[in-house]
Amino acid sequence: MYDMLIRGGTVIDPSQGIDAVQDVAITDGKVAAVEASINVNLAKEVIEAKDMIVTPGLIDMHVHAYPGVCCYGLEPDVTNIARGVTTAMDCGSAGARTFPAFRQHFIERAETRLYALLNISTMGIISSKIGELDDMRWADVEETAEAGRTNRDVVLGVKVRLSGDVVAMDDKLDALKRGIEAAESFGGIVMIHVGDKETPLETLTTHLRPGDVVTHAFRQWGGVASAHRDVVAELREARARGIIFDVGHGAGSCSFDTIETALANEFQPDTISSDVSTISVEGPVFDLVTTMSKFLHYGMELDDVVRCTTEAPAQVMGLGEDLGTLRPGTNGDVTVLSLDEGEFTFTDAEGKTTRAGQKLNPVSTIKGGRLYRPWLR
Amino acid sequence: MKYDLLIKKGLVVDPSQGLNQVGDIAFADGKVAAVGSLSDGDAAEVIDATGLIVTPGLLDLHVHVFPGVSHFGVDADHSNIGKGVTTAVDAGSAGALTFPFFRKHIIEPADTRLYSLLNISSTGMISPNIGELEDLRLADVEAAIAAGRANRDLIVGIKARLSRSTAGENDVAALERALEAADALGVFVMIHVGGTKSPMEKLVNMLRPGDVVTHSYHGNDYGILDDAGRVIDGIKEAQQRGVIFDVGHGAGSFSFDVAEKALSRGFNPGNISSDIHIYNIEGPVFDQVTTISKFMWLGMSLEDVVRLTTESTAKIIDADGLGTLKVGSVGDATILRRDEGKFIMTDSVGRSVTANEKLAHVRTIRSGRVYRP
Repeated sequence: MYDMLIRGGTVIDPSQGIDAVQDVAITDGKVAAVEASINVNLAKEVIEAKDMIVTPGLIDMHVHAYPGVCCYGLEPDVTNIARGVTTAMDCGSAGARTFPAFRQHFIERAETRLYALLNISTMGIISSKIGELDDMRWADVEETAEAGRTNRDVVLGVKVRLSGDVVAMDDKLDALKRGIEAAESFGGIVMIHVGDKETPLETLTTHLRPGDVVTHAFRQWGGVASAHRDVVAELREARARGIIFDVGHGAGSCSFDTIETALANEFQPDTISSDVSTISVEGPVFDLVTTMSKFLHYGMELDDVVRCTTEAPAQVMGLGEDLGTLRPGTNGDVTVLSLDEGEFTFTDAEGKTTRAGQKLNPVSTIKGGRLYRPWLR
Repeated sequence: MKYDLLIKKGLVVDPSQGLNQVGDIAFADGKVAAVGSLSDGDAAEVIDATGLIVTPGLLDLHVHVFPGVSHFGVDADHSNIGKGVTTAVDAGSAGALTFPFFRKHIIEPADTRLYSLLNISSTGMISPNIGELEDLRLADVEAAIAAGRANRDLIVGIKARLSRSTAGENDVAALERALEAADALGVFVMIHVGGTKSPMEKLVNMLRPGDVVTHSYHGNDYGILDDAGRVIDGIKEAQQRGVIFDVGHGAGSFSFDVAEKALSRGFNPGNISSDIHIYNIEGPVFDQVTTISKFMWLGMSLEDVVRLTTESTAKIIDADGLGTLKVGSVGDATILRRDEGKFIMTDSVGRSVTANEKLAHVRTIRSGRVYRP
């Protein structure tokens, strides 16, 4: 007997190379079987997914989920699990000093599986006006390393925001080095947030280690490309070395021009994340599935878009054994999506709009084998 | 039943009514229902307080209860209602940007009645290593006013920590901004003094009647005393024109020597608070009841120290119905025991004294209910 059967949907699970109509069975919170046809009488609860897309629970590798302390923070469940995202990673809203309350009041209580990168600034991101690395005394390696070790179960690495509004030009490399030093002390990744005209991305990626992440990589300035700049050889080399290029759309960090140039240069993102926050949740970002839909619109295959929000981020986060896959025995996290047809207007972070004929929408979310139904809690 | 709770035969000390006599107090519907000689049969629950002291629920004007965001923070209920304090005012742990979380996740769920002073620095107190007013851009008047207006039910004042370690050279500018925000909100300012760039007198002269100086009896640079140990004239004058000098004991801000000299010259505190936080809760402060016991050692009467943590404090925060056991007021009470023996009490500069009496917390009643965590 299975606890749940998700029946008749098109299962897209890049981790297993599956793209076919299949049934997915879940028992004891784990994936029990993915097969062409599973007897409906063997399931206690059946979710009909005919004409729907069934994927591993989506992972958003760049969110801000510390409202009331971080100016960008949103309630984690409203913007994640309620929108198809079963696992999200908060990217530096909290630093070593502010992490304990984030852990206690959000990470441990949220329905969404939450992980975090610690900001190398021990205060994290509090103000939108004053950068957390304006005063480099906040970039405290020891405190960050200690908080990382203490919370290693949920802290996956260190975030360093390196745009000109957060850190002085002269301090950028120092901040990055401190981030790497802290991350190395507990075996975490480093994610850098990039973006200003003055700093070509390749001057930063040379310092990163394989597995480290560049977020906002598809922004108008300071990303992997622009309308006037093809992807440079150094960035291809960085990718070959294992550096991860993430989207992190956000209110200011994703340009359709850059996407077009990069995709034309065969430089797809490694991971697609939303960077959804207070200043982008009402547009242009809205949520992760809208962000995915934009890359679908610009020509990426659906399988690739799903990989970039399941298997790929799970691997970057070091959680590929349990998450981002429907392999039997892994966590029973499943997202049911519809691929709607019609006329949809998408807007990038520069205010440019485009008309698309398709858009993904979340239909149901299953986490740990349970259908997310907040109204029943 | 006429009453939900009856506290019998305690020594009722309620300076707001001039009460200092053995009597009974009854509570109903969360309020004080009767004071006098009352009958057992009328109450659902009876506490025999024979030999004990019954006061209005104690107030602590200076605590830090935002753990996990502010490095100073201790658990709100453990350190307050669990120790006899029914109402506590967090003194600037949160600023405009961090107050929303503080409200939702700490203030609203707490059993202790919590109010807050908003730090004029919009981050509040995050790190012990980096002062929240070193960068004056953080002293954002507009943001403080907006947060104050949105949370006027809980924010009763503005806090400005003016020591060099928190404000660098910015003490005067930071205080100007705090006063501007407080004026707009119609609330008082509390300044934290000690080791400031400017002499205390200069800062105190900027204050309005009703504003509060905390850490008044600190033993650091720029205190209330001159080199001869006399209270500086300008400080005395400030007290006369209505500036309130609060204790705010803390880990570094209370000296028995300073307090002895000041009290001997008639410069008594206008309020007693603990400044309880993570660096002093295991001593020398421990709690508010220990702090008021220190002022009994200094020679103040039981009635006076109770006034300075009940009626006086309620007046400062303009909280109608608190700090009193008048019939119809909020049903908060604290039951204390006056222990006799030998008690070693230590100030913030390492001086220990031996007192032969000390108050101990026995029971807390909030809104007519015995606090039983």
